[in-house]
Formats: sequence, C-alpha cells, structure tokens
Amino acid sequence: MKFIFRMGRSNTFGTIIRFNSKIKRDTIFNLHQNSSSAESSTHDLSSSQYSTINEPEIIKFSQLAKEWWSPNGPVKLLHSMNPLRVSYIRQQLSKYDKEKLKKGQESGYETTSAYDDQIPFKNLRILDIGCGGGVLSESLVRLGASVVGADASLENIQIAKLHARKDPSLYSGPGILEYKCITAEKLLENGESFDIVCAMEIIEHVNHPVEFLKACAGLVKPGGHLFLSTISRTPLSYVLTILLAERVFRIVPNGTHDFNNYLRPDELQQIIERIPNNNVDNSNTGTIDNAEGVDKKKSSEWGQITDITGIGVNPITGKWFEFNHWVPRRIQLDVNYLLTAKRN
Amino acid sequence: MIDKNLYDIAIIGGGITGSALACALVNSQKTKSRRIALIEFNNMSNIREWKPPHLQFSNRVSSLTPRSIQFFKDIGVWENINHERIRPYKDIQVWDGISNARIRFNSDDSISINKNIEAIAWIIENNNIQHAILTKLAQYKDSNIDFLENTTVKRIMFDDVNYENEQFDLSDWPSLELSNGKVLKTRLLIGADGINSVVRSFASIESLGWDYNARAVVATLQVEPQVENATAWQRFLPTGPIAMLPLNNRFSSMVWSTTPTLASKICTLPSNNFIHLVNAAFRLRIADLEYLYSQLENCDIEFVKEFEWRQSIEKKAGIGNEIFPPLVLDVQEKSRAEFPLKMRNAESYVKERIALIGDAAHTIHPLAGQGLNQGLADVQSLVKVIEHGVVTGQDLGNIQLLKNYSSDRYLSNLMMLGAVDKLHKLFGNDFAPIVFMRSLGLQVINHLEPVKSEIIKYAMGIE
Ligand SMILES: Cc1cc2nc3c(=O)[nH]c(=O)nc-3n(C[C@H](O)[C@H](O)[C@H](O)COP(=O)(O)OP(=O)(O)OC[C@H]3O[C@@H](n4cnc5c(N)ncnc54)[C@H](O)[C@@H]3O)c2cc1C
Repeated sequence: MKFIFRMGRSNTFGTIIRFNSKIKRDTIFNLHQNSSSAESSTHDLSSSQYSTINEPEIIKFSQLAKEWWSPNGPVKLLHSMNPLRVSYIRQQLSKYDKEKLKKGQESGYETTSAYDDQIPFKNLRILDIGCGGGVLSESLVRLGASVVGADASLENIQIAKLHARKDPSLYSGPGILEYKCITAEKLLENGESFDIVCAMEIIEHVNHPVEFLKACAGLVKPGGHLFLSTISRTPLSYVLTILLAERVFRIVPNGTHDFNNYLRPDELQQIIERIPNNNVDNSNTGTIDNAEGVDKKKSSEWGQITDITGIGVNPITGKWFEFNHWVPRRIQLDVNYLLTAKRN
Repeated sequence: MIDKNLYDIAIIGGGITGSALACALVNSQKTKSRRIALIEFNNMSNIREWKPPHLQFSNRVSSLTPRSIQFFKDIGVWENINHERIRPYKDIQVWDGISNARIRFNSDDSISINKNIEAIAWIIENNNIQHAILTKLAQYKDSNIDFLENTTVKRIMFDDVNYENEQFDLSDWPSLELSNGKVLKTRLLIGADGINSVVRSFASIESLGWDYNARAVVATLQVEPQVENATAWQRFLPTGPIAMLPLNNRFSSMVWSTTPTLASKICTLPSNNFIHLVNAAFRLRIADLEYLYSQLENCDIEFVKEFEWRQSIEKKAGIGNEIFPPLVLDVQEKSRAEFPLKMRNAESYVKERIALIGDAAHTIHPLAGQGLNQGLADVQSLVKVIEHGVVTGQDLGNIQLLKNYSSDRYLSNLMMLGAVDKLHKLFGNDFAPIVFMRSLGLQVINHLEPVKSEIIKYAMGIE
C-alpha cells in the first residue's frame, strides 16, 4: 500500500510523451494532400471495439495509421529498425535459455523440446511501453507472446488498433494482442507485471527518464528482462539524429528529438543498477525464476545490465545492423544502442 | 476461426520455380506452418506419375549448376530424382563458327575453389526435376499447403469485402479469382507464372527487354555411342549458337538458336536430312552450311552425300581436324520443337505484398543454360527472406522485407542477362575485325587459367 502511494506521487511528475503531437501535425497535413485514398475503410463501424469513436474520427485515424505504417512515412526509421530489435530480443533471451538449459532448471518459458523457432515467445507476457502504431507489438504477438501495447497517446492506440485489423494472424493465437492507452506508472499502480518489458525509442521522449525507468523496472517480474533502445548523447549523435536526420534530410519530422534528453549508456546503466529492489515493485506477483542462489546483496538491487549493443543504419541501403566486434566500443555506442537488463 | 480462403503465401504457377519454392517453404522449420496455396493451370498428374519411356528422352532438358543441385539436395528433392537419366558433364567446348577459335572449360579449372565439385553441370529432363519436386510435395500431405492444379488465376484484384464479421480489414491483401469460382486472399502473392506473368501485370510492373529475331529448336538426338558422353558442345554460328548436351552415352539433347525462317524449316525437315544438317552445323565451314540452308526445300538433294563429300574435302584441306561432338545417327520422333527467344527483366521484382520469381521476373537467352538456374537462385533467396520475416515476426507481405529479396537478386540477374546478351550479340556478328578480336579473345582466355576459372565459377553459380 505504501508503495502504491509513493508511485502515485511520482506519477505526478507526469512522464508525458511529447513526441506524438509533433508527428500528428505532420500527418494531418498529409491527410489533406492525399485524402482520396482514405475511402477504403470507412465502413467498419459496427465492431464494438470502435463504437465509441465517430465516423470522421475513424477516417482520420485510418489515414493516420496509413501514414504511421508507411515504410516511407515519418517513422520509417522505426520500421526499418524493428527487425533488428526483434532479433536482438530473441538473441538475448536465447542466451538466457542456454544458461537455463545448462543449469538444467525449469524455466518459465519453453526451452528444450517444446521450443519452437516460429513462436519462441509463447507463454511470455510482454509489455511494449510507448508502442506507437504497434510495429514492435505486432511482431512480438506473431512470435507467440501475449503482448500489452501501451501508449500515453490515445491517437497512437487508435492507430495501432486499426492497423492490427489488417492481420488475422494476430488473433489466431497463441499470441495475444491488447492495446491500452495508459502510462507505465499507471500500469504499475494497477499491479501489473510482465516477463519482459520493452521500452524502445521512448526514454529520449519522456520528461523524467529516471522515474519512467523506475516504473518500467518495477513492471518486470523477478527474473524477467527489461529491454531498452535509445540514443546516446554525443557530438556524433547530435550531428546524425538532429542536424542531419531532422534538419537537413528531414528523414524524421523536425522536433522529434531533444538532444538534452538523450542518455549515454553509462548513465542509463547507473540509473538502472541503482534502482533498489524493494522500491519499485509488485514483487509478490508470479516469478519466472525462484531467487534461490542469488545472494542477498544482489537481491537488494533491482538487477544488472547484461548487454549493451551499438547499432547503426546504413545510409545507402537503409538497413540497420549491429556493429562488428572489432569496431571500438566507444564508436559502437556513440549513437543508437540497445540494452538488456535482467531483474534479480 | 480464420477464413479458409485466407493464405499467408499464394504462389501462382506450379512450374519448376513455383513448385520448388512451395517445397522449400514447407521443408523449412521456420516457414512450414505458414498457410500456402500453389496454383497451377496444368493438370500435373502426367508428371506426378511420370514413367520415363525406355531409351527415349524429353526434348525439354535443363543444365543445372552445382549450386542448383545443392539446393535440391537441401530441400530433399534430389533423392527423388531418377539418377539413371541425368548426366554430369565435365567439359565445355565452345568454338567460333567462322574462325574455329576454341575455348575449353573443364570442371578442373575451378578445382581451386572446391574440391567436391564433380561436374560443371548436370543435364536433366525438366520432367525428371518436376516429378521429383511433386513427389517430395506429396510427402507433405498433412502440412499447410494446398496444391490447386488444373486451376487458373483468372483475375487478381483488391477488394474491400470484410472478413469475419468485419473484425478484419484485408483490403490491401490481393484477392485471386480462380477458374473454379473460388476467391482467395493472400498476405503475400508470388508470381512464378512464367514470361507472361499475370501477377506482374496486376502489379503493373513493366518488363523491359527485347525479342531476339531468333527461335530455338530443340530435339533429342541419338548419337554415335560414346565411351563417355560427358562434354557440352556449343558452336557459335552467325545465325546463333547450336549446342549439344549429353543425356547418356547414346543420347544427346540439342538446342539450336537460329533465324525464325530457318527454325521452322529445321523443325519440319525429313529426319534423315535433319540429322545431316545438324552434323554439318557442328562440322562444316559456314559457306558449306549456307549452301545446305539454301537447299532445305530441295527434295532431290541427299544431305548425307553433301555432308560427307564436303567434310572429306575439308579434312583433306586440313580444316576440321579438331575434335567434334559425336555424330548424330537419328532424331527421336516428335522431339523437334521450337521456342521464341526473348530477353526480359522486370523493372522491379517486388511491390507491397507481391514478389516475382523465375521467368516471371526475367527471361534469358538459353545459350548459357542459365534461365532455370537463375530462377532457382531467386527461390533460395526468397526463402531466406521469408524465413527472416518469420523469425523477426514481420508481416510477410511487407515491402521492406521483400526488398531484401530484390536487392539480393536484381543486380545479379541483370548481370547474367547482360553477359549472356552480349555473348549473343558478339557471336551473332560476322564482321571480320570483330570475328578476329573475339577469336583472339577466346584463344587468349583459353590460355589464361585464372580468367577461365572465374568464368567457369560464375557459370556454375559459385560465388
Ligand atoms: C529452348 C530452351 C532451353 C532452355 N534451357 C535451359 C537450360 O539448359 N538451363 C536453364 O537453367 N534454363 C533453361 N531454359 C530456361 C528455363 O526453361 C526457364 O527459365 C524455366 O523453365 C522457367 O521456369 P518458371 O517456373 O519460372 O516458368 P514456367 O516454366 O514458364 O512456369 C510457369 C507456370 O505457371 C503456370 N501459369 C501461368 N499463368 C498461370 C495462371 N494465370 N494461373 C495458373 N497457372 C499459371 C504455367 O502453366 C506454368 O506451369 C531454357 C529455355 C528454353 C526456351
């Protein structure tokens, strides 16, 4: 009870997401330009899910959804990055699977014989916080996870819901997809917990990253994982993500990023590893991992960073890649990076 | 719960590339549970129950590179091949009809790269390949694949019919109207429907290229029995190349590209004359050959006498002491057929929810025997891309994913098309300086082992 009270207070800091309003302006502008293509999905009002929205709203959202999901639209970098993010999550979890296998322990998710390459995330409950139009959420569901896609922007949630209707396989199981317009803090307050929490390309868009990270960390079940991806605060990242991407080439809308909100990997690591274990959580909820063998000192901390990987995008092919090992660490982690943390 | 007419992947065209793709997808651990439809216009039962006639060969044969063979091994098709009816060849002899300059390729030329390679390529009847693929497909009875044969795709369109009580919006999934009245919807539509691809025209993808003013005559030849018939022969005549490919020690297959007028005459010539014309085309000087062309409609002339007399004169003159392909003794009845020759490349291989493979994407002159091999390379690439899509949880129709396929294949196909087209043009010329230069080129290359080795590796599909 005490805990909920505290988190409720921290919530008043309001980890508000600013990034969407900027994009909204852009996409609405586009709506006028090619309004002719909006006709296709005007007749789908009967579905109970959407009964609270009126018809012009649906037209607007389906157009926005189209923009959001366009491989050349304002968030095209998210689309092109997505396969790499998913591979990264798979790769990090499979390391963990192998450890589990070695130890011969029972694990929360299927490893040995039942492990299926096509649905590796079966039986995992995953939170995609800041899900936007749902590009990561959809992928995770296809891989068998039961996903909660959460976003503070109702508009994003509507976009995501509309887009999910384009793929029946998202509803045919074993994966489950659910979108909620809600913040991380609120989820924590509601007592939710997840095997995996993904906060991809979002920390740089929230006002109070430390509080936000605490909330995300608290949503991870003991033994579970937190995945983050963000941009480091370096001269190079300024040049690439703000000067070039926003101002010169306009690959992303101007104002998408605020350089001062970027966090370096070492800063992020410090923040996470300093989160106390008793501070944040819904600790009595289900566990993946019984904490036996974990010493007391360790369990007084929330957990550890288990991996940081630098990624980059090839400007010619537009493809994202993980840096080769021979590239100096400093350069690898200078711009975009992915991070895995494991809760004790 | 999900509509039974919804598919993840619909492949139009059950030719070799289309059915090989289906087979590779159900064979892959990563893609096997996708719902696949394979739609083919023809009734395949003849090929499914293919009983090869003794001492007869189909006139449609292909030369498969080691890379294509490896692919068939990987997807479990190779074990179903009738191995008595395939012939590896280790030698290629190519020579200039005008100057007789020659180049020899031997699989040993490539030995530096891979010791396991037993041959440059294998000559296989298309029916043998297709039969092996269908046999393999039949073993996947319980899988998620529907093979709709005897079925034509009549129309492809986008519709906004809602599915499952309007829960879904599949307006950007292509709908296929089939000849049996059914309508299918698919997440990913694959055009493996040959040169006149309906999928390509639906996607309004332009196909660029030209028709050669030439046709290919194919035939199954009975040849002088050989100890080891294991060389592919090709002579560049001014009208186009003529090739002889080994089938076994007594049979070979012929592909003769020539002018449309000559092609139709060659096809209808009495067998006896045809045989000697083929022998002449491999052995006699161009002037002699041209004399024979002019006599094709002359019923009185005995080609055998003409051929033997002219050859004896050339021998005396010391011309034509080179080694030649085995003498043709007979031509299998009804085995002569002619095909138009084209060169095409689609301006793009992918669009949102659409990909083209094989002849639907590109068509090449058969002189280097690469068309099908390119199609199979497309299949391998596309399977990898689809697997990557599955593993990363993507919608398999999304253009970003499919672009990985086109960027992998487009340039490589274009280069092969260009190289083969240039060869065709280079050798289709009888302007003396060009003949001189190309002959010099052949002779020089023939002595430059490293260059030869690179050429042969390229032709074998080794990267
Ligand atoms: C004379 C000659 C010799 C050749 N020699 C060689 C060689 O030695 N080596 C080599 O690699 N290549 C060779 N090729 C090329 C090779 O034959 C082709 O590249 C290959 O067959 C193409 O296969 P495909 O499956 O892409 O197309 P196709 O074989 O054309 O198959 C297309 C299939 O789609 C079906 N289809 C079309 N439209 C529809 C529709 N609307 N609905 C349903 N079904 C439809 C057709 O029935 C057909 O079965 C040669 C070609 C020629 C002409």
